[in-house]
Amino acid sequence: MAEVKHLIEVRGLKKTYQSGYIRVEAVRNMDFFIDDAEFVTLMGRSGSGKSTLLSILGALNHPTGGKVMVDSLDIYALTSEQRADFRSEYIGFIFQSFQLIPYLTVLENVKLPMAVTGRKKKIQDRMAEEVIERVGLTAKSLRLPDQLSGGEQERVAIARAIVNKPPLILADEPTGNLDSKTAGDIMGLLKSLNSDGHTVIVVTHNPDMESYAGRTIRVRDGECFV
Amino acid sequence: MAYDPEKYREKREKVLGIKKRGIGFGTLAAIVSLLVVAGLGAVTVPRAVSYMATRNLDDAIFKLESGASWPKTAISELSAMEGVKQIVQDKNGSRLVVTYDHRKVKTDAVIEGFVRQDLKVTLLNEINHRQHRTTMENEEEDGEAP
Repeated sequence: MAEVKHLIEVRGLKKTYQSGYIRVEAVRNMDFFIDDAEFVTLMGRSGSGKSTLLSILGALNHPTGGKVMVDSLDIYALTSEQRADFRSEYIGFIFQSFQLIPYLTVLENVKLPMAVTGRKKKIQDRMAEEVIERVGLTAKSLRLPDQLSGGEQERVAIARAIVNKPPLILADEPTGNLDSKTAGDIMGLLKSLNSDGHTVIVVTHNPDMESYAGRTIRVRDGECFV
Repeated sequence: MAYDPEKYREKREKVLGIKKRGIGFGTLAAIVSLLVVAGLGAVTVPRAVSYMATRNLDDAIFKLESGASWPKTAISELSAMEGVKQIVQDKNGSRLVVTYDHRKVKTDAVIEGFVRQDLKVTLLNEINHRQHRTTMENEEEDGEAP
């Protein structure tokens, strides 16, 4: 096990996209760390590389160079099967567009990440009901996503992200499609999850969200400024 | 918060495959296959061993023409004959079942052995040893006297 002092350590991270003759350096030599139970916002303008960075942190996007250590695991040195297990065990994703399955109920959507965990159905039901209660949607657990408001759909996405009790919650513009009041509610919910011990990393371009975070990492032209 | 490597040890071990999650399909399939093979083996192996041990044995059933009991000297002398594996008398002592390896000794040689002892015998039957044993077991189950 490598010697690490932080939950997440990013060292010399690079990501280059090549499209024909065009070479885009989305991430350029980033170094930073994030501690356990921190609430961090990744702030930057559109195209700054923050979403690429988030996908790399989430073990979804292989970097061109450098290392990402999470809980002492060099996540891109793992086999693809181990990396899939890593995502299942460690990461809860929240997307801007919610990414809910339209023909599944709230309860069924929330239970989806548990399909690969091998837990018994009763335990899955209980865990799903707990997180649905946590996000305040118990009364609507049998509704379909299109019967919910945008804020409620985001809450379902958050419930789905935390149902496997991941240490790390990664949210990509979670308030991008919401009005300011609902956005504030969602950030408040993420803040309370952080208080429960989850490490939360939120990608946003909205400076108003900065107040919820303990720390902000600014991303500009593929470089980060801690 | 300071990083505690112990906090997520269980998750880390799952990812690294140190901590197994239940029995894998391959392991389960191997265990079931082994049980099936062991079960079949427990049934077939003793039968196969028994068959191999007795496949060359025949039984010859004799009785004395006089109807008297068999003298012990005759039985002990016959037991010493090469190829004779077993000699069994029935309950009332009138019939003698001689089990022998048909590769080493023939029925005629057994009869000659009786003749040398001035015993007049009647050969009641010659039968494969396994077949005879099965018949005897069936008769015992049916409550018939051997």
